[in-house]
Amino acid sequence: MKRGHLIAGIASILILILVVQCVAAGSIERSVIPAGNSTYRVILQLPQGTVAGITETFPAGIVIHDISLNPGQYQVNGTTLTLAVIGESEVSYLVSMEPGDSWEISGTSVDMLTGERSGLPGAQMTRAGAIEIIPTAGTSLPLGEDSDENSLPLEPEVVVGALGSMGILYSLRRRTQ
Amino acid sequence: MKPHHVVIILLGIICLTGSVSAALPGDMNRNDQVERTELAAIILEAINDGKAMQDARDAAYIYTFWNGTAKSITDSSGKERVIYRPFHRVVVMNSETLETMRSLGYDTSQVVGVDKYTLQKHTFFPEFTSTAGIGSIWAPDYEKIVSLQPDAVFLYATVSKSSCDEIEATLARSSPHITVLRFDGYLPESYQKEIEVLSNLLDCQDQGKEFSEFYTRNMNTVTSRAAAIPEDDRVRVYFETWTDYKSCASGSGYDQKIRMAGGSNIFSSEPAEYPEIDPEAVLERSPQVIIKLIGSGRYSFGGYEEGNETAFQQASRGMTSRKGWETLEAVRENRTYLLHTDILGGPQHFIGVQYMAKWFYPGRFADLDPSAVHEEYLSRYQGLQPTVKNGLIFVYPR
Repeated sequence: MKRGHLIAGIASILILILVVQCVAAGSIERSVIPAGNSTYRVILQLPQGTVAGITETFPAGIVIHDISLNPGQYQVNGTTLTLAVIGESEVSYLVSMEPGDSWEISGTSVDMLTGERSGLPGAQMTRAGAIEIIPTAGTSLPLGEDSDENSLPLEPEVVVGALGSMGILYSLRRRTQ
Repeated sequence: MKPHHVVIILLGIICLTGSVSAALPGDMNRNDQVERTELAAIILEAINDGKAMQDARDAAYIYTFWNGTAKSITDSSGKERVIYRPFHRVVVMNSETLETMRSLGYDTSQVVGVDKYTLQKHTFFPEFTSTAGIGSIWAPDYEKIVSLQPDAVFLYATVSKSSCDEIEATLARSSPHITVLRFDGYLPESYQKEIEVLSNLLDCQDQGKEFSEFYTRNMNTVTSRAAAIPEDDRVRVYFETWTDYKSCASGSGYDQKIRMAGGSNIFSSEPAEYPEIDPEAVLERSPQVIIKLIGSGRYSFGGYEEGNETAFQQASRGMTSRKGWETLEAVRENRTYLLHTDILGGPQHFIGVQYMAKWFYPGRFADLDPSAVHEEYLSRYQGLQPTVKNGLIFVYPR
């Protein structure tokens, strides 16, 4: 294996392992983690006591499965997944696609108690294989970008993981020279 | 059938077609319970089809805050009322209940119609100046009420009972989907209970509890001490309404408030609740304190809408210079007072009772500061600046 391929492969894996999080408007958070075989688990974390209708929209070709809610609490219609959240603190589901496909998820939420309608942070996978969270304001904010007041809070384990991966990459590079 | 009856019935039909039946929204199996599966189904329907969003929101509210069932309360008329969905639009035909709603922190933007007297109180009810007027309990504008499509209409329970009974009956015929609720909002013997029931009805339990404690504390600080005063030692009080020589007797709210403040109403045993008094009888019964209620009739000044000190002075002089009154102990001792109905006749009676207690027993109630209580009530519970009463006069002499 060439050195460049090795580095790129390991980097992709490490980036995918990192949990990508974003604090959304309305305090709904989205995380996306790899689940193997071009499958990803999408996790929505919700404030306590949330009663909401959530609509998730996907590109064609994506398969949605393993939804954590009871069967009566969701509907899949083509490229749209509708969720009825009734007090759950977390909802998750799997998305599967053809290897190499890029994809994007967008979501909206209607709070059934306040009537407030809001966008959720979106998520997309770039052609390079990185997962990006798209804040509700519409500006894409990739993982690890310099933060400002709207930036993503990086959890300690994410930082540790990133530093660890840098160390491994450096070690591999030294070995291949 | 009169033309306006036809209009009311037609409006009622229109409202009925656009409203809901007396059942819980989302209760598809009609077991009087919004279950989790039913709520999920109605949310998905609302989100996917854009239909019945209000039903879905109401079902979510009932599931979350009412344990999934209808709410049942007994109002001050003694009737059980079953509420099948939260209120979004209410008409309030008595300002006492409206004031109490504000004390409870109720979202008064949901009040879509008020009586004409509320509309006249610009200082005290500034947020309702542009709210639709629906007449009064004596001359209700039924067409207006129905056209506002209220979920609920609030009426008096025991005051002007026949008028309110008629309004309730008329609405029941033309618009049975409107819930009629009846509260008085001013009687000391029922106000505490009304605070509790209204708090539950309007889902204002937290602020309701706080306000209930405030009200009880301010009443009890008078009644607990006044109750210990023996009957024979009580100050003799002549209480006069805004009609000269018209007093109050046992069974009236004023008589009850005089007793709470430790006084002995010299006309308490009169057969009528609001008896016309022979002027000689006042002289014979020799009151030690005289209280004149103002705020209506010939004495329409003072209170929240006007600070006219000259009018108070004239009214006070006119009262003390009545024939033979110079011989009365109350006049000789300068114990004649004017008290505005704004702080005695309605929900603010606890303020008026404190003033009376101080007037009856200056030493025993020296620690009371009804003016400060008044300011606290306005700022903490009415959402008004305490300075709103600057320049206004509620008692005289001040």
